[in-house]
Amino acid sequence: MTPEASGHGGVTIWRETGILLLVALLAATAAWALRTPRWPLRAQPVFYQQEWAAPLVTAGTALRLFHDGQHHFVDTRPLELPQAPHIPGAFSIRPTSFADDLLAASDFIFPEDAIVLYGTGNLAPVSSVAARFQERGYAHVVIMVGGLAAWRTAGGPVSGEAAHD
Amino acid sequence: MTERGGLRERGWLVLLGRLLVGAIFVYAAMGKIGDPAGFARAVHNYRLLPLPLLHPFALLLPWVELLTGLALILGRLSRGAVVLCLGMTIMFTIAVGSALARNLDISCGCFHTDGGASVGLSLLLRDLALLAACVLLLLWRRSGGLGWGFLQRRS
Repeated sequence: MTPEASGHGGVTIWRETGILLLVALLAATAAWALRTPRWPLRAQPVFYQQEWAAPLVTAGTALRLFHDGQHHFVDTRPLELPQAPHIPGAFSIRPTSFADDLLAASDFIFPEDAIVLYGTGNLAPVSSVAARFQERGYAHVVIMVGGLAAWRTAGGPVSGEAAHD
Repeated sequence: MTERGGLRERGWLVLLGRLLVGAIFVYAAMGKIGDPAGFARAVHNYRLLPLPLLHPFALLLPWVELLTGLALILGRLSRGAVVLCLGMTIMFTIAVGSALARNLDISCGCFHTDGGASVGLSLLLRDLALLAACVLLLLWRRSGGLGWGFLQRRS
């Protein structure tokens, strides 16, 4: 292959890349212009700062709160087995059965109590549980980031681990 | 004869790779084009992009994915499409690696804007595999060709 041909090939690649990007830009602009109501091009900081219903804490901070003994821990995972691994003493209050689960724990968890929520790898359902707690007057709610995996990594105790034969 | 047969085999591999990678990008785009707000939230979770760029990015990227995927499948502008695929995959890999390093408990946002796979090692490995496929397509673009022309009989 001659140098001229390889150079021409290089120009062709970037020309094709530019064409695709330009067409994508035009398509995105048209899609945005045709959408009603029109989605704002500028992101509002307040909207994104309020993304989670409660403050986030690391697993290390949550472990410190656990040892302090002043916080209730709430497991929001949709677990079917009561003996599944969990943080010792945690109450199971799930998004799909929040009212029933909270009623079952109402003798132990009060609105003035401090609560640490944890879940799976997705903060969205945990945040929804936090929002529901806040709607019922629970003002001291935080969300532990990382779920049970992060808790284990931080050295936190776990109950209900599967017994080895 | 052997060399020609080898080139033909590579042509089939390139075709298969092109169709697979193209299909992945088209599928990834379809879940995000209709929900730019949800995709913007997923992107924001990575805490990498400044807020002023968030919405334009969330609007543009799915269309780049769609057109790139279609270009690969159809074999048109495919060289440019491979370059874009490579660039996007590098970006995704860096974002996932960064989220892992910061222990962010977030959803990937790769194919769905509402939940989806969580950021983890398996996701990073998947991105690396896609990156490898894009690199191979880029390296083989001359020998195997990225179009459908390799199927034509050579005189």
